[in-house]
Amino acid sequence: MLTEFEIQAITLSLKVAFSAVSFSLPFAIFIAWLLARGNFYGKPLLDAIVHLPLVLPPVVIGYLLLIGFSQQGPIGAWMIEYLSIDISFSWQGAALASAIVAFPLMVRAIKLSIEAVDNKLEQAASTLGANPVKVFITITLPLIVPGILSGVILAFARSLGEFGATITFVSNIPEITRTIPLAMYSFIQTPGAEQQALRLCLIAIGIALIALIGSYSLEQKMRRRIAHRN
Amino acid sequence: MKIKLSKQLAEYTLELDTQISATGICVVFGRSGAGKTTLINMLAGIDTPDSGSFSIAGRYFYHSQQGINLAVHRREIGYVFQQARLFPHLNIQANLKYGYSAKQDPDAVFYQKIIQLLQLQPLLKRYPTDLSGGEMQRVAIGRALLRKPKLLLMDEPLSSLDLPRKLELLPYLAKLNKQLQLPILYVTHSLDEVLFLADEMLLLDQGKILLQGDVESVWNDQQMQPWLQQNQLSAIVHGSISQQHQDYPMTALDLGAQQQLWVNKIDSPPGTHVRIRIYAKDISLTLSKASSAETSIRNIFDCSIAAIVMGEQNVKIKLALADNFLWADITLWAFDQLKLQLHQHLYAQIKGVSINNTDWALPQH
Repeated sequence: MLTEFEIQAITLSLKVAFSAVSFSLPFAIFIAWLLARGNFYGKPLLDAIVHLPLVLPPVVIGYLLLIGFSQQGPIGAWMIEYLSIDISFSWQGAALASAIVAFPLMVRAIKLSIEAVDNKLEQAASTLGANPVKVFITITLPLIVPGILSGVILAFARSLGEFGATITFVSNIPEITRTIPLAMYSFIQTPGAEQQALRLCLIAIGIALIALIGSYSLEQKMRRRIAHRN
Repeated sequence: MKIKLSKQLAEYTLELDTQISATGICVVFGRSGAGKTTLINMLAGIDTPDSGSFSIAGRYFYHSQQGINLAVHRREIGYVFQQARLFPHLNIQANLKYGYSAKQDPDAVFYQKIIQLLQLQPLLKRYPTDLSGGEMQRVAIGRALLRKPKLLLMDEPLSSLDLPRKLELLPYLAKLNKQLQLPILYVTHSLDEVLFLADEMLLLDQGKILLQGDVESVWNDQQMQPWLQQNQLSAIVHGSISQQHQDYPMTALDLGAQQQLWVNKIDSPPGTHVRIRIYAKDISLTLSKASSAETSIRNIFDCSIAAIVMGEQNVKIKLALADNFLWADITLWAFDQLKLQLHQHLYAQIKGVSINNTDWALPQH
């Protein structure tokens, strides 16, 4: 049914998106908490930096990553020397590009749900002897699960669709960085491959629909569990 | 408990310097905006004072000069809020055990005691959204107690409830203090709750303590009168049940010095202490005593005038009766005709029928 080429593109896309989301989730929760509850100098600046990838052209992000993380770039060279990790022109690089582009979406969703948690509940927990870490883990975190979930799904969908930053940073290498959008781009560039492009297009729509419907029902289930209204 | 705190608020400076006994229920009474909640928030560590100190049994929780300011979770001070603030994602049992340490309660004796005292057993498996307001507040109280606090703060815990729920919860609160040796600081603007619960009372206005002491003395103090609205002007009288009437549903209270007050039947054994609120509007004054065969008034007392407060139309008269006080409210006209003077002896007539069930409360000890 699916060609080997298509399966490769799909698995690579899923791998990149999963890695991007799971890698950035803890940071996203932390930044979201800082933005929602923190009171510090430079908060508007942090907020602006976090949201930057949302408004910058993806190609700019890809270019910046290329400068910073390529083998000659300051971070890339450092990582090769001390960590023996080279992410340039690899699927990890694609994951990093996706993570950065999707980050603001994840932070926004989580931040909104943290803001919706009644601060008075957290206050009550601290009068019961819970330190701030315990308050966060036992009260805040369970109550924002639906927000985390929608943030994760949004970021996952955005990662699957990532094109500009990826192709700029890690190029379009078959089996290594050629995700679904990049594969489609290749077919469109190739004369006579319109049908293959259309197949990939339908696949992309299918994956997105499954993710969105799945997240919707999961979110409903979570909300019910929190509110306990059946 | 030593409190010496000051904090600048929007409209005034909250300044407190007092000592509160470490047992019983101390009610902090005042209008909304008097600084009551700020006071207990400072004690809990939720609000930070500008300066001062706060200690319980010599242990400092806050001391501005020594740089002590214990975090909320380290204070071991329980807090029952106006709204129950139960955690919606946890069932009642998990809510109750949130601050509870099983290690400190090896055989769960204390846990069982609280469950029983507040009758929480049937609620344990349920979730906060399934509970009524009164049940939620009971859980909140249990949750705060199970943390084994050194002091319990309660911020108008009944104000969000309707009257039946209030009446349902009040006896629990009264029992609580009797059965657990735990000092409670109880904030309210309801005189009924003061009457029912307070051992000690603290009147707060514009961030200052106007009066402090046992309920009877604060309530009957002249400075308290503006808080007891005109038609609500009343006095608190304490006594013990001496006998039940053989033929009529009436109960006699011994007020001391052989003075007996007949009230509608109170179904409690002789010797039970009661606290009664007598409205000024139910008291009339007379210079000579009528015999009980000639008047419908059952309660006529020999009193002396302890204070006279002149108003524009009315005169408020404070009467000494054994070791109790009464307040009477008479017209200026009557006052002039009777030629009343300080320390003068006269008779106060109290309509026994005006004392109904909502006007009496059993003191805690």
